[in-house]
Amino acid sequence: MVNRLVGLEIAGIIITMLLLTLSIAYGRDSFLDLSLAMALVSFGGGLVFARFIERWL
Amino acid sequence: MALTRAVTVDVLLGITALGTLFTAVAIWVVRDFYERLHYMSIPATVSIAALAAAVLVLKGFSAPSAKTVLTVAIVIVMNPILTHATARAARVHEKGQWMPTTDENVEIIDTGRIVKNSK
Repeated sequence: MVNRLVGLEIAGIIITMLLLTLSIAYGRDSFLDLSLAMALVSFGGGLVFARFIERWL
Repeated sequence: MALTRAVTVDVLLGITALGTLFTAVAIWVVRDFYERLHYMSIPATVSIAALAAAVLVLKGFSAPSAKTVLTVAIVIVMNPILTHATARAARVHEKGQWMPTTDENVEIIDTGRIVKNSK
């Protein structure tokens, strides 16, 4: 169960880097907000899942 | 000058890709959960910092660079918090409690205790 959580967290980091790279590479600077939102949401999601595993599983 | 900039960006992007690839292979090979957690810090620090440096070299000091640095700073600052929360969740899930159990030979240091002066 917790191994999947590590996978989710690493996926969040890699997707953040991917969105950063794509928005810079294609010159769409306004899409940088997506990577910022992804960084924040993946952090919150990881914390919520960690808390869920700790308390209820 | 343009060639130097292009080579620098390529090297920094190579560091990003290699760090991420190394992490993927390491997590695949390593079987212990807590060791896997350690390997998670490579893309969250080295790779993403190299990516931000590449954007800074490519774009200079501009609005996209500032936004990139903000995103990278958020990831770098929040990754240790997330790692600790994950390790804590795994330990509580495995042992039932965060503190050391009686069968574990761990020295407990009580840093919150107030030591009174004997004089």
